[in-house]
Amino acid sequence: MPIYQDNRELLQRMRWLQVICVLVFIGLFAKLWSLTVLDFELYKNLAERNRVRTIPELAPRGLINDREGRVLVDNVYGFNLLLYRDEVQDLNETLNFLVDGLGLDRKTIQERLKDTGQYDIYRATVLKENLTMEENAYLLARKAEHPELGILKQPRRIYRYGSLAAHVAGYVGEVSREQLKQSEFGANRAGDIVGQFGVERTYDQDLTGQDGRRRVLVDALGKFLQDLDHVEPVRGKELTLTIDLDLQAEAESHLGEDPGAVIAFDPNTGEILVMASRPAFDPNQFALRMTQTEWDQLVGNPDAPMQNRTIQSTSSPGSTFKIVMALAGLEKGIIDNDTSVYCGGSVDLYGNRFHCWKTGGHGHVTLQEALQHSCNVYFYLLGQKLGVQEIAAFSRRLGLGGSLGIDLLGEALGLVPSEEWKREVRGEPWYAGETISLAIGQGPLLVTPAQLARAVGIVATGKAPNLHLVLTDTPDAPEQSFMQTPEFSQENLDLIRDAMWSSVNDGGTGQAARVAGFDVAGKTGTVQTISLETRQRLSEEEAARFESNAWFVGFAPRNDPEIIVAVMMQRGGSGGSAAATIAREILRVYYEKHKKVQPDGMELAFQIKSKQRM
Amino acid sequence: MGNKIPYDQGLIAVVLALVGFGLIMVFSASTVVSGELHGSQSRIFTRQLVLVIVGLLALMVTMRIDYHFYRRAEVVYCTLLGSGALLVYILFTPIASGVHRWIRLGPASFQPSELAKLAVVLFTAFYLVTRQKQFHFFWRGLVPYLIVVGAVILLVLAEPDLGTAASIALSASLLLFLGGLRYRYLLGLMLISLPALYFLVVRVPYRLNRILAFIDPEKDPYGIGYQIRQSLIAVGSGGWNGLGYAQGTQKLFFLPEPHTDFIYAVVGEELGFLGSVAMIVLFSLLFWRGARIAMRADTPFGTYLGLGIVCMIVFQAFINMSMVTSLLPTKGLPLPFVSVGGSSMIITMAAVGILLNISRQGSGWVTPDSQSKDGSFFGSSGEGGGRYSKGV
Repeated sequence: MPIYQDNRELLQRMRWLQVICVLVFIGLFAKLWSLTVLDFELYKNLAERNRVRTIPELAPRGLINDREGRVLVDNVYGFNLLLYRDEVQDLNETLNFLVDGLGLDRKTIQERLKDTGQYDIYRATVLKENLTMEENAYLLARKAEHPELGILKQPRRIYRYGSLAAHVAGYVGEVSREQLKQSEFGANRAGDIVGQFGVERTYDQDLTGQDGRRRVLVDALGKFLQDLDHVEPVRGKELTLTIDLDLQAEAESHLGEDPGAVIAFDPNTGEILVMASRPAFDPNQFALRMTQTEWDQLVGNPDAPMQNRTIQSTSSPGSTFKIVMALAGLEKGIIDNDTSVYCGGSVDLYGNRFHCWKTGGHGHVTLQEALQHSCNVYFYLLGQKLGVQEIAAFSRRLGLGGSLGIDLLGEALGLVPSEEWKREVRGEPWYAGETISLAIGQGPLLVTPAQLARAVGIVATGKAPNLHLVLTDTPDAPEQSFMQTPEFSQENLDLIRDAMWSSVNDGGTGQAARVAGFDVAGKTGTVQTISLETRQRLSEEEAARFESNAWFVGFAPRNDPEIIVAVMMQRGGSGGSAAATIAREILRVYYEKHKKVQPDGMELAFQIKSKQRM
Repeated sequence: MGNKIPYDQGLIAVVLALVGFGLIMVFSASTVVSGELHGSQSRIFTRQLVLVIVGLLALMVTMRIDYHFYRRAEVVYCTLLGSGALLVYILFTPIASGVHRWIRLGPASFQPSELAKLAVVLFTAFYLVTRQKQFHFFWRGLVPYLIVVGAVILLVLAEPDLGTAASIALSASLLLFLGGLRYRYLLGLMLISLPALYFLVVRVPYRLNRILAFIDPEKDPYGIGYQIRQSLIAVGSGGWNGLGYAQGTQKLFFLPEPHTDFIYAVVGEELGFLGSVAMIVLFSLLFWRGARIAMRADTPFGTYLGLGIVCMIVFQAFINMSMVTSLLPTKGLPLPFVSVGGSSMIITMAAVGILLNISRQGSGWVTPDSQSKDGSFFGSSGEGGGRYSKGV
């Protein structure tokens, strides 16, 4: 039996379906009519009452600790003044209220509004950080008249030790308009606080947390009605520096306000223990958004407190360069330990007279003695034999004239002169006489304290680890932390090491660096930054500014070195003893910290490898 | 193969109008949500644009496939088994947003329940024409059918996806009704579905909450009544003309799912009463053109398949619009052609393509002319040879 007697059944039922459709249509139509036409006023009012407010909950940045877990960079919560831009009725009126009532700077506010203006209107603008109690009270009392203003507890950076290790820690600041165009800050929005300098900048992505937010329903007066949702902020990752704050503080206090730099590192791991640059700035000023005047003062200071001298200032290495020269001479087989040279106080080469610093001369000197007493004549003659190209090649092998890959931005490259360089940059051939001054670290040669320290590290240990400021999670990864090690003969390295030891411990130029019980080896250097004639034309005050650079580079203990140190003082006077003194104080503190007293009372300073790791 | 006639231009026009309308509304509704979710305001819209293009391609493919091909038993059962297998498979996939609903395919995802919907319609149409003799027998006709379709519905319920399950049940019931199922059986089906509804709705707290919110949205305006209340505020505050395209504010933070299930509320808020009615009119036109095509189909299978597809699309739209305006309690169900969602868009477009192919296959067996012949047409050629089986 067919399902239909005929197709009338289908047509019949289609008609029913059409009726259903018409009924649905009428039902929807009627409901829409009632909602949109009859009850329009009701729903319009309800819609107007619908106001949502997104309250940002800024994530605190990760802490930055020193290698012993002491917190260097922390966060504190302060009250910030926010403007909910979607609530603004009359911007001028609000501005007047803030300028007249609260004494805020109109231009600053407008500037900040301009920065956030490009984002959606529901994003609040921070108008002022760290409100005082008075400001807070003033605003709270006038809350009802100004629903567009809000006070919010937000974290900001605090640098617990002020300017201590300021160049390492760096500072944070609002992301600039130029930065927002760069891919590095692609995830950021105007008004975000990002690392601008130091490890704050290099490790910004790690340190930055995940901002949270709370969305609440508020009524037309901004009164809280209901929580919508809440995303908890997540604090950024914690960073542990390789810096030892004890040593850092020692270095900075000895440098004082005179321009200078100290860098110290562990030659076995590349961990930087001290990176001090003076004068310094106080990063807290940045966290509180300094005024234009404060900023102008900072960048206008002739002693450049913003510069990290350990990696950004380049100068001639002076006599410390003799270490490089000695290694080059030994490795090329031009000299050996017995090679002796007569120093009569000066030597005539290429028609010029080149002086030793010791007017009477050193007499017959071997390499050991030449290094120990820093005899210039020995190295003039060695330089003459080596030639500029070999000197340049060895300098580069020891890491001069190139980037060290330290985890900070803005490393200066320095300059290792060569024949090619002279031709390309100066358009002149290299004169043989120039090689003679290059041999004692003068002339166009420029190095940073970090480069010089690392070169000394290679000589001291034969190892060339990457210098870095942050302890990695996996400390046992030597393949990654070591650069290609330049192969030098152990015998040659030992010779230089012994000579440097004598310089400090056996009546050499580096005596000031001596630490009882700790086998310090080192080399001083002094560089006249201006000629004597120029000096006489300058006033005393000006002359002080251009006084000679003093260097000391060294390591300890002599066998199996644990710490390399380089000190550079821009007004350090001659002879390098001032620099050597600072190095001594740092090495002494290091020694005091790490010496082990064995049961029988014997001091054992050298078995402290990796114990300082947390 | 008979006289081909042109594709139904009216249907094409209505569908393109709906898809265009939908894209325009998605653009407005999704920017803020997209910015929040993906950090790019255009991401959701761009995706939907791609899906519309894929949907149009699917339509152009199915429109060229002779629909008689689907009448083959192996095609019907393969589709059914295929979607059944996919439904079983997703029960073993990891839960996404609390349900087993999607199969991830690289950047895209597929919702087997959408395919199941079309498969059930196809199976019902097939069953109606191949078993028409037995169909009015309870044990031999109806029960086997109910077992098959019931299994599919249960699998969809297991995801859980009550909205799609109800939508499948409704399309199947409408088609059974049109197919001439006895009224007492229909009544019986309604009666047995009551306890099922009880267990599925009253015993499941979140669904019961939606019913309670439907009854009185003001009772807990920020809790269970929040969504429907915000939806009503959106539609109601639109007024006669609406606030203007892209001027709505409800979609910003208040209205949940403004670009998917509740996009019709955005239509109401921004385009007002007129815009909302225009949307209903478009779906009504779709029903008219679709039913007209089905009634002019060259075989009963074409008629039932066509009617099934029309009911599947149009009634889902009606349900969605009723939910948004609180004529029905809320449950997740997209507005066909309009809501953001890939599987729904592609399956719906493919179904429209099938409808278009039916329109191409020539004049029908159930035209007003044949009515005057008093059913002899159906009796003689409906069963045996002739046009009825020509496509098989």
